[in-house]
Amino acid sequence: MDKTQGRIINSYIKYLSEHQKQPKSIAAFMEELKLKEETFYKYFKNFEKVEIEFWKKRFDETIKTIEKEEVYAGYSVNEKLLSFYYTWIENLKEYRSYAKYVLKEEKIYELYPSCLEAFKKGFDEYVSMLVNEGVETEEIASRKFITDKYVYLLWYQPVSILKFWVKDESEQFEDTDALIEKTVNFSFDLMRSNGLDSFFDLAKFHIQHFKI
Amino acid sequence: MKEQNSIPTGKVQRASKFIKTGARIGGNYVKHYTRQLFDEGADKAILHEDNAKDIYESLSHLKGGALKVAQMMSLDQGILPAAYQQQFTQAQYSAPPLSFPLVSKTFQNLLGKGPFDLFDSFTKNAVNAASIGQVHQAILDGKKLAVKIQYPGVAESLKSDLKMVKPVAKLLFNISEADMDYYMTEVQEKLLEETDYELEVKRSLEISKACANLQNIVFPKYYPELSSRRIITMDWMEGYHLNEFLLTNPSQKVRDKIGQALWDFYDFQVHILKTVHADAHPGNYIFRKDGTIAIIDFGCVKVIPMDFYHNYFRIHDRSFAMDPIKFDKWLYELSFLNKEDTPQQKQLFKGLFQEMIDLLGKPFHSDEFDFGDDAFFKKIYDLGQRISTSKEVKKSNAARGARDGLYINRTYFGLFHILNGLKARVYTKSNTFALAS
Repeated sequence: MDKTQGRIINSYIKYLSEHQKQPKSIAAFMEELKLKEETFYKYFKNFEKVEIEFWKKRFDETIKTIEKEEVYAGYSVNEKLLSFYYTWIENLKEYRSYAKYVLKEEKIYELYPSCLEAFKKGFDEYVSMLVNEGVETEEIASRKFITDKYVYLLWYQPVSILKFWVKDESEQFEDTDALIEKTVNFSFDLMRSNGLDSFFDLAKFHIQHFKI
Repeated sequence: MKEQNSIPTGKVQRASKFIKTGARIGGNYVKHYTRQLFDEGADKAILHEDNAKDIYESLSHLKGGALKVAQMMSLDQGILPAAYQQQFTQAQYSAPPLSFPLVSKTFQNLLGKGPFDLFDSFTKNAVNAASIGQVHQAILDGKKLAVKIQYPGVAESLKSDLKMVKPVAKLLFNISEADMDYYMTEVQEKLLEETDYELEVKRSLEISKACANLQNIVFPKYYPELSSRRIITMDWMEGYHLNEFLLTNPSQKVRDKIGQALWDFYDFQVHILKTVHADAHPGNYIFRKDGTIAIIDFGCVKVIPMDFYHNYFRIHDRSFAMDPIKFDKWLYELSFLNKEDTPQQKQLFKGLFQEMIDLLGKPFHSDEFDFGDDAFFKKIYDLGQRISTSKEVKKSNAARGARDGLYINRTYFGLFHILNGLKARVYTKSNTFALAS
């Protein structure tokens, strides 16, 4: 990424943070930057792509930061995911007004804001790696047909954390920390081998023997 | 003005409180006497259980701050039988341990650096749970340190817990909203103070400095530069918690030495500093084989207002307590008796207070006291039982006792409890009190 692309992203995100709405047009936006409109198209097709790139950058940055930490490699899978969320939210702090804009209630989006598209791709890859690792270390129970779906189930986490965080008014967002801790612990309690497994085993047995 | 130390504030405080406290001390006893209770008085035990069951069930749904308040209230109101109180005193703010990534983040946020940057080594897992946080062990420049980290959002959750406890407690204890508020403000203030680690470090430094000359009491060194709103770094104190310590079979001499040190520590704080470490919970002390004791937690500190102090400790003057007119007036001043009391109630509570003061004042009324004397504690326990099962007492729904006494009583009862555990013989005659007055 070159400097101009970085400048466009930063300025656009800044604009959204301050105005909580899009600039009137790409031309008007580029005018403010004292750049030609065509320069914009060199990097992006439209405004939304700028946002997508922004979230992707935050994701890459987060992974880079956590992997740099010495302790990270020794973490359990549970701890790795926690450390991902903490670092991610930390990296987003200076963009909180923008995140608020993205998650504005009146904005209509489907399951998640579309600007998170590239972020989601990265997250899914990262998490499926964690799940595989977890199955190997037996932190996560290997369950036929279900294990592959964990990745989809885990996607609700970053979105709900984000939604909570933009409304969090506790000191240094400590409530968000607590939420992250509880969310991740809960999901790992479910994924770990637990009572559910013997329950399904029993249920399967009953179904097999309940022939009418 | 000699043996004035008489009953600790605790004793005097609220009648109901007494009951409760009695019961708490009794908790110790429960161990010794449960069997006896069941063998000899099985009916009574069952009756008791029936009475308490409802209350216990309602209380057991409360968590954290709410539970603490409920505990205090039930002590004061004397409703909770000893067996249950034992369980309650163990109840703490319960939370799963913090993950290491969060510990690390807390350091980053509050001190700007991760634990591995600040210390030469740092345990990834907590080595101990504290009441609203957890303790890790660290090493810096060859020195072993204890690092206490508070759970996030504790203060907030305490506040919401407290809101929740009010209607429940009102119902349970049958006291008016105004009475409830009277005590709640005190409890709430103290609970929230406990979440302020910066304040705790400040107080630890102040009190340990003021008490530096006391014998056999040691304090960890605190490191303000490695502490913050939710982190406290202090020296790691080697030694044992009370139960473990007792298992090492310390000699009578060592137990006496520690008991004396504790007694002098509290005496000095109450009468000279007028500021007291008000959480005499066994977990806050480290007992050592050489007969010294380390004080490790200053989360709960009560500053004793002067006018309350003078009023309250007047009871240490035995001749004063013997003068019926003065004694009467005193009971009203400290709200043990209320203007609304019927003559019968007045008679009843006056009698009870007199009895409690005589009993609980015993250690203060002699030069030396053997806290290993189980008969003494059994008497307290019995009195507690008697009050808690008395219909007349239950009928009175007025709150009794000054709110400033709440934590002071608690402190003395906690102290008695520990000294009993140690079976320590202590010179209880207070020189400091004579000086102070």
